[in-house]
Amino acid sequence: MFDRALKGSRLYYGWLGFLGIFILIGVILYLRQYFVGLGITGMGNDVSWGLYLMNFTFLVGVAASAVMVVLPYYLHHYTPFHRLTTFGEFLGIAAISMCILFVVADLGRPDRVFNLFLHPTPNSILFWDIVVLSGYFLINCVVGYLVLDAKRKGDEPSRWLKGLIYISIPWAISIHTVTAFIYSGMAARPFWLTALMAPRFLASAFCAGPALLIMAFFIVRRFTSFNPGNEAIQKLAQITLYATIVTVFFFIVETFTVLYSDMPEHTVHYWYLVSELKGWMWPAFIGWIVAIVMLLTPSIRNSNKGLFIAAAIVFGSMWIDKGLGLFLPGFSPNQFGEQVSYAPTISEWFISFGIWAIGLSVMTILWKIGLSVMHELGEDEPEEHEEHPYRVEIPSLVPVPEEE
Amino acid sequence: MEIDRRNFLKLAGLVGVGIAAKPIINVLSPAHAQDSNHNEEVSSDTHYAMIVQPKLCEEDCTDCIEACHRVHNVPEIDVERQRIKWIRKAGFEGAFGEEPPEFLEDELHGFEYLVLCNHCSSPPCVRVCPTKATFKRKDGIVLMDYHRCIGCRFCISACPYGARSLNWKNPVPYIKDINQNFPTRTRGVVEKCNFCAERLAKGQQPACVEACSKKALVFGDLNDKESEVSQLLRSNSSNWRVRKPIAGTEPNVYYIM
Amino acid sequence: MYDAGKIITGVVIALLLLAFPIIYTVAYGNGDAPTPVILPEYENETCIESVESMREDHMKLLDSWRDTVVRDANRIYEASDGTKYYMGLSAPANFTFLDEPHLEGVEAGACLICHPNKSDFCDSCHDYSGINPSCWNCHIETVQGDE
Repeated sequence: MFDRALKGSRLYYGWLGFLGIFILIGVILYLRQYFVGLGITGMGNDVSWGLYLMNFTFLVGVAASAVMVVLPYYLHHYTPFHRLTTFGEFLGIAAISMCILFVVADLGRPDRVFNLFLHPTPNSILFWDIVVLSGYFLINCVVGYLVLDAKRKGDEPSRWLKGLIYISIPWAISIHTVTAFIYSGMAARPFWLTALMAPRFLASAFCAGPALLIMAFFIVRRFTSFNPGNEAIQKLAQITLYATIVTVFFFIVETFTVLYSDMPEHTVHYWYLVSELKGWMWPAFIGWIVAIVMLLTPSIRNSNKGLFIAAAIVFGSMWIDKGLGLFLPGFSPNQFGEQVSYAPTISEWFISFGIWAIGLSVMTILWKIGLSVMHELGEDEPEEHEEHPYRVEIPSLVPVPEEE
Repeated sequence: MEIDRRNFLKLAGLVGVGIAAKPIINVLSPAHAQDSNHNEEVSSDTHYAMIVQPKLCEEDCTDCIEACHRVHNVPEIDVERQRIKWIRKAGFEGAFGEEPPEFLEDELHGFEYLVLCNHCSSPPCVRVCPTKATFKRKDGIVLMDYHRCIGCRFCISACPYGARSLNWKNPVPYIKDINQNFPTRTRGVVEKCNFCAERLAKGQQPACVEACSKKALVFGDLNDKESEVSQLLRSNSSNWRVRKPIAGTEPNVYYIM
Repeated sequence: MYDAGKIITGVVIALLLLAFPIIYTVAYGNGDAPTPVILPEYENETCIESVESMREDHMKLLDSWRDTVVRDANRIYEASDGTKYYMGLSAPANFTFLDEPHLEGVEAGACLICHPNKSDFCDSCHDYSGINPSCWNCHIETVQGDE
């Protein structure tokens, strides 16, 4: 099936070429970082995690959100998602690739990365993060490929494969939970020391991921023959809406605990979030509200442009909240109570862009394979029952009298 | 022989795994193991601790900091946020994480307290390290294995005391006067105070303790009831504090106010 | 097989290229491989292990020494002939530390005591094989104080 990735339109190759430029720049700058050290970034001994791990955390969420397409179809037979699960799994693969690359880019000694495997340390959450992320990556590779292959041959996925798909559902939840545990177990960082970290991560993942899928499917519908189906897109919009509402709710409950308890160790970080970072955070907060309103309004939600913009706002706001809004208040004020700041350097930005470009390339290539197979199977358009999944004849228990 | 592409690739994969198996097993197998237990120079009967007596400190004196950084080849990094400090000074709120008590003695107001790695009995940095590069030795010293550290900086996040620093670039050019008797570190590894384990092995006191002309620093074994640290703590039983006890780390650096 | 002629030819050429180093060595011998130079004043010293086992396993030995010294705080190595050595890498300035009572019968075992000529001894083989051991990024080779 991989040969489908080699036969594409000029736009396909042009897009990959465009991404290739960023990849090249990123690789060159990363080589400089490899030999000179992490000193070329804006991080320091106070803000010791920066843009790389911000992106990592965000992308683990995007990877986990593939479950939002898999779960409704495989557990609840929600047929409109029938043709979309493969694309969700491929998004998962692309996102995990980026996660792994961001972690390696963030290491001080990437040449020693195998120490993680040679000296496994079960008491360290980072160890478990590697385990669950690698497992999720493998599961998505196996499931994504084999289900598409089965479809191509007109087969049903075999029983063991279905079993693996069922495993992938709690596994997806676990990858983001374990990632949240990295932060939520440290007494040294009171801003992160909350049980709500994992639920917040999952909530923001389940809006950022489907928002990305909405945008990607719109692009696919515009430039290829594939139509994901209105019902499916609207369901993704619904998922995005509710997840965004939950995210806002979680932020409100955090606000209450911090402000009402008035504990200095919590309030200082919260004020850093809402006042020092207000240039970034207030647009994000407003973005949440605007996106919720847009997604609630049927005329906007049902329009292509409106929904695309709403999805983009959700995606951007979640990136800010999970990136800046998570890391900087966690580190500032530092352990000595001093306010510290962080700004990524140009190298850091372009290495990050390069890794994003690699992820987008992986996603493009894998989606291209999926789209080609769908096209060959004649499954470009949704079937009637997939567009109207609820208009099913329900047999009446009471015999209906014959009409005269 | 009739074989389709798919099965050929499967076969090739198996062959590849088979060829790679022996070298991988070789790499992962431990070197010739030594029965080293009876040769250890440290024992779990020791419980090292340090006492800082701020009232004996001279104002603006940094003898201990200079001695430590000189003996251990700690570099003087130019970029402020990347500076490496094994031992430093902080104000009351910075050191102890709370407002100074209202009736704090005048001489301790605005004072700069010596802070360093607390070599906690329940160290969060050891708990989070994914490669056991930072580990707790039997005698209580929390040590760094610079050979193993991958520079993930999880420990820097987990330390409530800001005791750890990463080498953001190659430190060697920034070392003023290299002490030939002690190694340097490379870029990409995290470092911190090691309670002068190399000096303790030779029966010497830590460099900072030795350098202090006012005897403000005291170091010893808490399990030894007759040691100076034990006696000082007993005689000052209501007058000592540790940094951020609420973090549950059980620090082993005591401050007798 | 389709294109059998081309494929077989290609495989043979590939195998020849891959096996070239072996064929060359068989034909011309190991002539220009370096021999590590032992300084005349240390020629009568015995190494902690046999030359053959050191040649093959010195990296594994150093790896295990590294872990034993740093992580177990144990500096005493028992060689296969029973001699006890005090583990180290760089040579110490003096050997007075061996006078400690618990180090009775332990000899100094730091590598650079007998091989202080790092460039003629260690580097000659490492440069030839293209190996870059990172020990000296941190450890200091100048013979000075105790390690």
